[in-house]
This record gives sequence, structure tokens and C-alpha cells, in this order.
Amino acid sequence: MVNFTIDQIRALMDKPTNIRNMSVIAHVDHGKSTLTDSLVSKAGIISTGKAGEARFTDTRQDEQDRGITIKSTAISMYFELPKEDLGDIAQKTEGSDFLINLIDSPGHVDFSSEVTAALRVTDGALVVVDTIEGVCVQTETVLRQALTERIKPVLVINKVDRALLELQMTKEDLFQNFQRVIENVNVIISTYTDKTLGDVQVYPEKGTVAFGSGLHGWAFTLRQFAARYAKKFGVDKNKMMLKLWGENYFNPATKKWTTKGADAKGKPLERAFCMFVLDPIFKLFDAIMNFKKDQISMILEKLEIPLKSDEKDLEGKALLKNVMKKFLPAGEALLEMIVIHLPSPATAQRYRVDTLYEGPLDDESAEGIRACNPNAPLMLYVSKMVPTSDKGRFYAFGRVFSGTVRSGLKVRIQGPNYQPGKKEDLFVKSIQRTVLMMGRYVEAIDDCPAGNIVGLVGVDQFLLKSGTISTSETAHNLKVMKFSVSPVVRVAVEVKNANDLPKLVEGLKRLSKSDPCVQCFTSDSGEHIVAGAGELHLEICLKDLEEDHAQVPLKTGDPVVQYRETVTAQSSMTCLSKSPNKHNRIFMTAEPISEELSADIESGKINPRDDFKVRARMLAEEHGWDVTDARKIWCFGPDTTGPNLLVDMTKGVQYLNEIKDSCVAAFQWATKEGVLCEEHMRSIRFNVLDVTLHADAIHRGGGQIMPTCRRVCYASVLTATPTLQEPVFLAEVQCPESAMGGIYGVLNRRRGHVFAEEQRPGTPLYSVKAYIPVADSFGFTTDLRAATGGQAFPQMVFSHWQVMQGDATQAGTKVNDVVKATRKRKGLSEEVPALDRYYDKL
Amino acid sequence: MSAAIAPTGEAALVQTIDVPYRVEVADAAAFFELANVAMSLADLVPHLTTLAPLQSSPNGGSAPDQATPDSRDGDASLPQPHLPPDMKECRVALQFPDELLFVSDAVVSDMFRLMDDLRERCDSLQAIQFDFVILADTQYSACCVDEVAAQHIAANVLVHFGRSCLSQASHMPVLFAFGNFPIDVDHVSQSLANVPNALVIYDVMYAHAMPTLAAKVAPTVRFAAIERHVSSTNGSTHYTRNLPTKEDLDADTTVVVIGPPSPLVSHYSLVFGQHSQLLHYDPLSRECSRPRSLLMKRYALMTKARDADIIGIVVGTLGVANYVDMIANLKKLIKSHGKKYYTFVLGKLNVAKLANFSEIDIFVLVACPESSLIDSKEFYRPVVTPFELTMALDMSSSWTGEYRLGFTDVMHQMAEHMGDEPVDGLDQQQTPVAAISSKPTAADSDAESDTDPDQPYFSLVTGTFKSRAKVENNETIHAKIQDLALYKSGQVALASPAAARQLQTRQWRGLEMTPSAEKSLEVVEGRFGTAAGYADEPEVETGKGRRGG
Ligand SMILES: Nc1nc2c(ncn2[C@@H]2O[C@H](COP(=O)(O)OP(=O)(O)OP(=O)(O)O)[C@@H](O)[C@H]2O)c(=O)[nH]1
Ligand SMILES: [Mg+2]
Repeated sequence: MVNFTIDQIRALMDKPTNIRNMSVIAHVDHGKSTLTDSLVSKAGIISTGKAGEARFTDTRQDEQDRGITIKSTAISMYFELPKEDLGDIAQKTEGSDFLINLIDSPGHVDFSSEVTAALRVTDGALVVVDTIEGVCVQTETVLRQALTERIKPVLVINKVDRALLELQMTKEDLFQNFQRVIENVNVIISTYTDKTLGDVQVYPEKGTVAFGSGLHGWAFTLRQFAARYAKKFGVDKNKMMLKLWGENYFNPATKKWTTKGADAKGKPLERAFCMFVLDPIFKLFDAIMNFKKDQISMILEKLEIPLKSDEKDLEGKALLKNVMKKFLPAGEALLEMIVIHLPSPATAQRYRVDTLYEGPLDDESAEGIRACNPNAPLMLYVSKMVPTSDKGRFYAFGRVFSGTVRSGLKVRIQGPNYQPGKKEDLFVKSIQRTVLMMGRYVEAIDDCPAGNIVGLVGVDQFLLKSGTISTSETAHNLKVMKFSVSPVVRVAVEVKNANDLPKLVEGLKRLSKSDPCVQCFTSDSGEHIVAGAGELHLEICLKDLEEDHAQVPLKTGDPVVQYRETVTAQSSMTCLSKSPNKHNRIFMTAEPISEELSADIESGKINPRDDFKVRARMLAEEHGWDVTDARKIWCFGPDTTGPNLLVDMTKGVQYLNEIKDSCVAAFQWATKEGVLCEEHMRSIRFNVLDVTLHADAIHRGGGQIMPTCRRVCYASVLTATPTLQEPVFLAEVQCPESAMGGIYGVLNRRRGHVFAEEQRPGTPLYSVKAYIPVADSFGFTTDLRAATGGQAFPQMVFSHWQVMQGDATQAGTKVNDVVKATRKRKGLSEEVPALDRYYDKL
Repeated sequence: MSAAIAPTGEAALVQTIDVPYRVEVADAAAFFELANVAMSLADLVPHLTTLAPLQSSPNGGSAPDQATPDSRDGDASLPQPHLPPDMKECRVALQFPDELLFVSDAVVSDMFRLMDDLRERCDSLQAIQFDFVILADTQYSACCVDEVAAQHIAANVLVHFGRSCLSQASHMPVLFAFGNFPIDVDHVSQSLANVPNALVIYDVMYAHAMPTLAAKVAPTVRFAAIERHVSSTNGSTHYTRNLPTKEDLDADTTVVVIGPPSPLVSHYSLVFGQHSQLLHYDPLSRECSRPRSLLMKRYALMTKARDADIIGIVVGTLGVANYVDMIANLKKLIKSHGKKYYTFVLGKLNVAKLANFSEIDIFVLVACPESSLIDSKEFYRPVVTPFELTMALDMSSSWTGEYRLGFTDVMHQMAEHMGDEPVDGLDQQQTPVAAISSKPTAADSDAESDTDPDQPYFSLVTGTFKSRAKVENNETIHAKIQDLALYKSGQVALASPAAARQLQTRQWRGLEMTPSAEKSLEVVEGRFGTAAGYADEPEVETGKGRRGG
């Protein structure tokens, strides 16, 4: 069946110019996996008949059952480009055979981290958009991610069959529809594109847009049609392509090309795209679906589509599928587009190196990556872990950017916290085996040179999720991936039987490994927490945990939301706390930080590693800070990077620098465990106004200062109208008009608030965008389905933190209820501690 | 013949961890059953072989001055019996918790009276003069016998008053007077009416009421009796609580703890919490409540302890038997895991003291079972028990919720864990830190097996991988000290011992290390000894102007 061998593939791996690493990305259900199938069938890995039904890359049982991709899956394919087309490739190539490493990614927001991991190891992306649904939130998210990773996109507009069969669109409508989708995609591309990539917008006339139906196994770019007509019109293929798109018309009467939509007499002309490209397709559809037997055979003859004898009896959709697959085989069109327009590693690594590598761009590792040199020191990025059949063991899945990895090679395994010259997060070990990942199968290979995607055995013990593998002692890390989703939804799990605890712990470790985004840890109250990006993500994780990773019965608590503690006003008075020995005093106030600044800190735009002068200028110019204050930021917190600031506003205090370390430690501690309910603090600025210290060093040691500084932070918060911030999801729902009522009803019940609602032009679909608090989002999907007869399906992604109204210390407010409930869950006394526990009288 | 307070520990600015309780005591003799104490004391005297001959000047002898204040002569209200010339002195230390200190005076006068009465009846006491010294503000927790303070005043016997954790003292003869704390037996029996299958564990101060209570409750209610043992060698008493093993407990047994809200309750919530229901009856507030199990909180601390690289061993007792062995075992355990330890003797624990050592990742407190459980989030770094540390460090350990606090139990646990004999030499003088050869660093072993010693583990605190600590202990650092080099920048570069790494993270590093233009001085040998008397100074007469404390 398979029309290529591992040896063939292995031989191609040595030619980085002839490799294409690409991901298939799209909104959920736009047909990525189905389309992948048609490519895979072209490569002979699955039979053509199965394409569109099997979903080769959905390897897990639950993926098959739910019809949704959960994990990204890689597959390598061999493709031979006709010799005459080689000239169309604008980059260097050797010979006409190509190796395509394709990764099918999930489209549901909850699994975005899988997309991030896939993008890291590829250089190009096949963006799939549903003709009818058009560009959706997730299309934008994944495209943005691709562009920031310097991944070049090509577009395929999928499910064209539905436009013809269900919506019965006219040719011109369909053209308009395509035009709109392309425009929307290009708007996103131009917003997020990186200058070094050049113009990466997609153009049908350049062959970077394909149209087709994954389900029916057909697709085309204008190249296919241009090739057909080039001979007929005697023009160059590439010129022909230009004519087949946009405002180009052919007047059959005069046999002349024009750019005006009407002839001399004002009679409207048919667009060239409709006339030459859509017309044959429409005719075929019409003839077959309306059972016009004689027309069918005529058209088939004209289009040179031979039918086998047993296929002659087919009718309707079955025949249509069969014919279309022969007329415009999807595999050929798409693989051609991929090979011609997506960059090879040799091309891509030249411009990707500066965003990939953390170290100096002229060291041996950087040079190796830039040249995609198999003889340079090894630089390999492990982007995720893939479970093996061996329970609890994983293949480290990644990309060789430089050098060659082989079994037995001794390498430096550098975790995400590794710093050159230090020993932390560094292991020097040997690679046990290298394998080629092929969907659900793996094939052992001896070695793997730069530019390829590979699986490694023997690394999983040393890397939790991702990391850099190198042979150069001076190598820095390859940049850690940045995910577009964060684990905001959490549940506590416990074992039903106490003796199973160790198994749960082991299971949590394995779960944590198997998913790029999930977090597993214990809370201070001793609960085991699993945190995921959304309800679906969590559901899948918990199922995996129970059935595969821990294999013991588990109890799951209710989903828990994380809050942030904040203040809404300046402290009503200057707060004072005295040290235990009463000899030292710290005076402090708290005040809110603007949301913009907090967001800038969280995104890393303003960070503690900046030069303090540069940072101060930025704070002054963009956030209206006083420059002198801005220069005296002692630290960020919690975890030294969070969106709370400790600012030294004292004047001429003696010994102040001696206590700074203690104050910083206390501030980290206080911002990590807030006074209201031990949640992290957010958006609070603490001003140290004055400090009096005992003259004797022994009486102003860390033990005296640290507890005091923590207390005064708490007092400052309590006097500054403290409240909570709650996380809010952005929900996007696509549905027909009839379902809108149901959506509004459900949203209202859940404190949701719609901020955008629009009809997709040319379709009966509406798109509703709303904010919904994470706390009220549990069960939203199910509710929505029930309320709309299964027509509405939301995509929710964390959007922002929203301040809750009221004073958290005042009984009777909603926020106070939340505080109490949180305290109770954490085993704390229910009431927020009174101010006098932290505030000392002068 | 009156009493003196021997102050130990520091000023009472610190927050105490013990929960104080208050009682009214009208008649101290009846409250503490002093007559019994006096009898026991009399029984015990023949065993005391080292009584000091009575001297005219109380300032002499081995007792430091704090035990011999002048007030002794000031109080003449008590009769001064005629004493034989070869009279010997038996010094009795009376240890009170702070909240019972107010009765100490009454107790002393009652004891004098009782001993005088006894002397008249008993010949063996004729030649003995009793001298009572009050101990208060105990160095560690008031529930333990403060042997060190008693030794300071050269006491022969110690009588411990009030609540006790019943830990066995290691050196001196001890008597206990728990006190008859008021308890409404009727109310207790009512509260227990619907828990027929109960096991009652009571705090020692309520022992007196238990026979009455037993008569009032259902016969199925069992009591964890407190048994008194009198040593035949030195007449010292000690008590044990008769606890059933967990296997003996039926699933439907309710463990009822009677006592003030104290660490005792937490203790039993850990020991029994997993296996049965727990009720806590507080005789003070007359409330019956279901205490929250601390188990999961302690579990969270254990996961933190697992990640600690630098561990502080805090000595929280100098009296509980075997504490020296326990410390030695802990050191051995910590070292065997490639972590670093520091030992601290800090007296009573408080937040400020521990916060002085911000470099320590976690503290392990060696103290009596009741005071070693610290459930407070005020501490900058958590404080765990030796058992918790043992479980935490044992990566393979399958902790299933079982909990131990007693030293002997825990040391067995450690032994199992380390796979060899624990340090339990009976000789308390030496500190046997067994020198174990550091684990072989399987240098270039192929990562073939699962048992790669370098393999990081999954930290449940951070949810990420953490390398197994390779913090160097002092021996290795000293070996490497030759490598120490002073860089041009003035930074001290060490091979990466823990302390140097910590120092790098600090902004304030004390003295400037930038080399100045001045010529550096030769290193000269300093003085030896203590400030009270350096080795090169002429010997100063002891007892002259030297003040202890
Ligand atoms: N009519 C029609 N249906 C299609 C086409 N392509 C896919 N589908 C259907 O759309 C649904 C989703 O297809 P998938 O291939 O699983 O979509 P996906 O993008 O991989 O979805 P996720 O991986 O879950 O994001 C399936 O029911 C397919 O049968 C198409 O070209 N035409
Ligand atoms: Mg899919």
C-alpha cells in the first residue's frame, strides 16, 4: 500500500532543501483532520477510499468518538513534484522528490497549546477555513501564533461542497464569499506579520490559496486550471493564473480579455474565475446531483475523467465524490501548493534563528541553526511528549535545528530554567533511540539530521514537557514556547482509596508530561490540583488521569476559580507596623495600578530585567508615573515578575539597603498569599513611605523586618478598599438566527454580557461575542447546546481580569461571599482578619 | 525557705504557640493533691544519693546565684524547725506553666508544711532539709520537663505542675502534679450520650474526673487510661497513655479527645483521623466539635519539604529522652539525600527568630510530640516534624495517611527508610554523626535504566521537574576550599556551595568586597575562648561577679 519506504524517507532527510515541515491549523471543525486524510491517502498511507472517513491523525479512541482532535499528530510523507513544475519553486531545491512532515493540530481553543507545540517545529502552515463559517476566533488565534513564530501560511478554503449543495450559492456569490474569506485572512496576516517574513499575505493568483472539500477529497489552486487553459490560450501558465482571479473577464464574443465587468454594449460579462474555474465544477455538480445521465458522460469525456466499470453504476453523491476526486485530486493540489510555496528548513531557519535562539546570534549554535547544518553542534527543541505503548514512558517529540541526533549520542539536556554556565536544569545523558513519528506508528531510524522532526527515547525522564537538547557546552536555550491559553480552570482530585495515593502522584506527573498546558500541583491545603485551559480540556485530562496515567478510581471536586486580590483606592491612612521587638517601624500605603500597566507587566512588556532608567521612562510616558517614583521600584511580585510593585518612597533612611532583601522577600510572600483569602495579589502598588530602624544591627535583622513588612503590606491592602478580580472568558458562538434567543437566555443567567453580534455576509450564520465570568462558565457549553437544540457551540478563551464590585471586607457583598467561601475551602477561619492584626498604633 | 523564680528564655514579647488556659485555684493543696506529691517525694528521697551537705552560705556550691536569692531569709512566717547538724539539702524544682504561676507561692508554703509534717512521722527524712525553687518561663514548651533549668539550680528532684505531654525525661527524677482542673462531668456524659462506641482520650488535667465519668457513660465507652509507673531505681515517676493500635479500633469508633484546644487534639486528629471519627470536647467552653483534620495540610508541607535543599534542624527540647539520637538521625538522613542542614538551638520558637534564617528552605522541629506540630502560616518557611521529613525525603514512600509523632516510632521509620541501623547509642554525651560515604555519583551511567540517580523528580509544589539536590555539605566544601579564588572583581568564587549561591541572590552582602588600593594585612591568629574569659587571659575566680542567665 505505502508507496514509499523508510529508506527513501531517510535519504530525503539529508536534503534540507527538499523538506517541508508544516502544520495544519484552523478553527475547530473546519476540516483539518479530514483534509489531512486526503493528503495522507495521496502519499499512499491510507487507501483513497478511506480518505475523509478514517481521520488517520485522530489516533485516540476519544478523538474518534467525539470527532474532534485533541492531540496534534505528526506524519511524514513522500511527494514527487512533476519535473516541469520544479521551476515554480522560488527557493533552492535538489531533485524532484520531497519529504513533507505534516502535523495535524486540534482546533478547539482548549487545546491551543498543542498548536503552539506543533508550530514550533514547523516552518509553514496550511490554514483551513470553512467556506460557510468563515474566519473565526480560533482562526485568528492560531494564525497570529503562527506569524509570531515566523511561520509562513498558505490558505485552503474548505467545505466548498456545502456551499454548492446546501446553500446552492451562485458562482458569483461563491466568488464573493471566497474573496471575503481571503480578505479577512489577509487582514489578520498584515496585522501580525513580522517584517522579516516579507509579504506573506495569500493570493489565489499566486497559488497560495486552494479551494476544495476535504470530505470529498478534491481541491484545486488556480495553478491546476491555469495549466489546463495555458495551452488553449497560448499564454504562460503564471500569466494565466493572474487572469483567473479578481476583476478579469473574458468576452467570448470578441475573444478578448478585459478588466471591466461589462462589454461595450453594457451587457454584463462573466468573471473569468466563474467562467473557467467554477463553471466546470458547477456543471458537474448540477449534472450528477440532478441525475442528468447523458450530460454526465459528456462532461466526463470533456474533462478527461475515465471511470472504471464498477464506478459507472454510482449515482448522486457517491458518484460526485468519485468524479471530483479524479478531476481535482486534493492531495496533488495541496501537496503541490505546500512544496512550491512553503519554505524548506534551509530557507526558514535563516530568518527564524533570531526568534528561536536565546543566545548570541553569532555563536556556533546560532550559526548551525541559520545554515541548517547537519555537521554543526546539535540544537534540538523538544516541543512536547508523546506517550509510548510502554506505560509511563514518552517519546520526546521535537525538531532538529542544527547538527545530527543519533542513538547513543551524549547530549546536554537543558530544561526551561537552564542558564549557560550553571548546572541547574541540566543533564548530560545519552540518547537511547531516535524514531520517526507516523501517526499511530513509529519507525526506528539511526539518526536524524538538521531540519527534521524526530522522536527521541530516553529523554522523558529529564524533561517534563519541553526543552533544548544540544551538544555544545556554550549553547543557550531555544526560546521557551509562549502559550495563548493559560490554565485558569482547576479542580481538586483525590483518590477514593487512601492506599492509591502514590499512584495518583505518579499519574499527575504523567498527565503533566503528556499535555503541554496542564498543570498539576498540590495546594497549601494539601489538595491535588489539576489546572486546565477550559472545561473540555480538564475533562479530557481527568479522564486520561483516571484511565491511563494513574489507573485508580478518583474523586473529583467542583471546578474552582482562581481570583486575584486587589485594591480599588489609595489606603485611607498611612499604615504602620512595628517589628516584634517594637524597635523598627515601617510606614506604607497601597494603591491600585492601572489595568494597562498590569497587562504590560503580565505580557512582559515591562519587566524586572529592564534597565531601570528605560523602564522608568516607559512608566512615565505611557502610564503617567512620576519618574522619580518609577526609578525606585524595588521589585515585582509575586514570583519576582508579577503585576504588583514595591516602591521605595522614603527619604534619607539610614541602613535602608540592609533591610531591602527582607522587604523584598516579605513582599513576594504577601503578594503570593493575599490577606483576603490567600490568593495572589494583582495590580497593587505598595509605597514604602518611611522606615525607622534600630541603630543596632542585631535588632533590625531579617527576623524583625520580614514579618513586619508582610504585616504592613496586609494593613495597607485592608485600608485601600480591597476587592477581588475574577477571570473572564471571551466566548464566541456561531449559530443560525433561530438559536439566538437561546444564547441570550443562557448568557443572561450566567452574568454573561454580549458585546458584539454580527451576521456573516452571505450566510444565515450569526456570530455572537460575549464576556462570561469563568466562575459562571462551568456547564455553559452543555446548557447552550440544550437551549439551542445543539446548534450553538461556544469557543471560550481567557480574556481578562474583572474587578468585582464592592469592598471585600464588608459583609453582604457578593465579593465578600466569594472571599469567605474561598477561605473556607482553604481551611482558613472564615472571616478576613481584622486590621488591628496588622496595623500597630504609633 | 521561700521560693525563687529562675528565669530562663527571653523576654515574653514573643507569641507563644501553646494555647493558654486559665483556672481559679482556691486551695492549691487540694487542687494539686499536694499531700500525694509530698508522699511521693518522701518515697523518692532514699534513692537520691547525691544530696549536698547543707552549707551555711547558700551562695556556695554548684548552684549559680539565680537560684539563691536573698529573699530566702526574708520570709520568717514559717516555722524554722530545729535541724540536726549533719543535715543534707534536697533541692526540689517546682516547674509551673506561666498560667499557673500565680499559685506557685501557695504551693511552696503548702509543700513546706507538708514536708515538715512528714518529717515528724518519718525518720529517714529527719536529716533532710527541703528547699523549693520555682521554675517558670520554660525554655521550650511548658508541657515538657525542663531538665536543663533544673540542673542549673542543681535540683535533685523536679515536680512538674499542670498539663504535661508525658514525654519521658532522660536524666532526673521527676514527679507530676497535673492538678484537678474543673470539668462538668454531667455535661460531658450528656455530650457523649449518642456516641456509645467511643474511645475517650483525656488530657492529664482531667484524669481526676475520669472514674466519675466512666460511671456515668455507657459501658461500651472505653478510656485510654493514663498509667503511672514508678521507677524502682530512682523513684521517678512517669506516665503512659494506653492507646489502642489502629487495628484495634472498629471503623465506627469515635475518638473523643477531652481537653482544652491544644496540640493534643491536632495530634490525635493526625494519628486517628484517618481511621475513625474524631470529636473534641473542650471543658472550658463546654463545646463539642469535630476538629478539621490537619492531615492534608501536613501533606502539603511534606511536599514542600521534599523540595527543600537546605534544612534547618531546630532543637525544640533538651529534655525529651532520645532527642540527641533523633537529631543525629536527622542529620544522617538529610546528608544521605545530598541536602544540607544547619542545626539551631533557639529556645522557644517564634516567627521572628526563624525569619532570621531566610536561606533555610524548611525547618524540622525536634520537640515533644505535642509541641512539634506547628500549624501556623505566619512562619516564613514551614516547620515540619521529623516524621514528615522522613516521609518527604523518601521518594518511593507510599504515604497513605498514617502518622507518627513519638521519637522511637519515627526513628524506626527512619531506619526502615535508610535501610540501616538508626543512631541510638544510649550514651547521651556524644553526638554520633555517623560518617557515611556520600552516595556514589553514577557519573557516566547510560540513561538506560529508570534508576538513574540524577533523574529529576516531579515536584508537586511547583508542578515541574526538580533536580535532586546536590548541595555540598561542609566536608566537601572544606575539601574544595583550595579551589577558592579571589577574582579581580572581588567576588568570591566557590565551586557552588549553598551559601555562596544564596549570597549571590542577595542585594546587600555586607562589607564591600571591592579591593581597595590599601595593602591588605597579614592574617593573624585571633583569640580563643569566650568573651567571659579568653584563653590568653588570666583565670578569673569563678563565682565572683559572674552572672549567668
Ligand atoms: N461537507 C463537508 N464536511 C466536511 C468537510 N471537511 C470536513 N467535514 C466535516 O466536518 C467535521 C469536522 O471535520 P474534522 O476534519 O474532524 O475537523 P477538524 O478541523 O479536524 O476538527 P478539530 O480537529 O476538532 O478542530 C466532520 O464531520 C467532517 O466530516 C468538507 O469538505 N465538506
Ligand atoms: Mg481534527
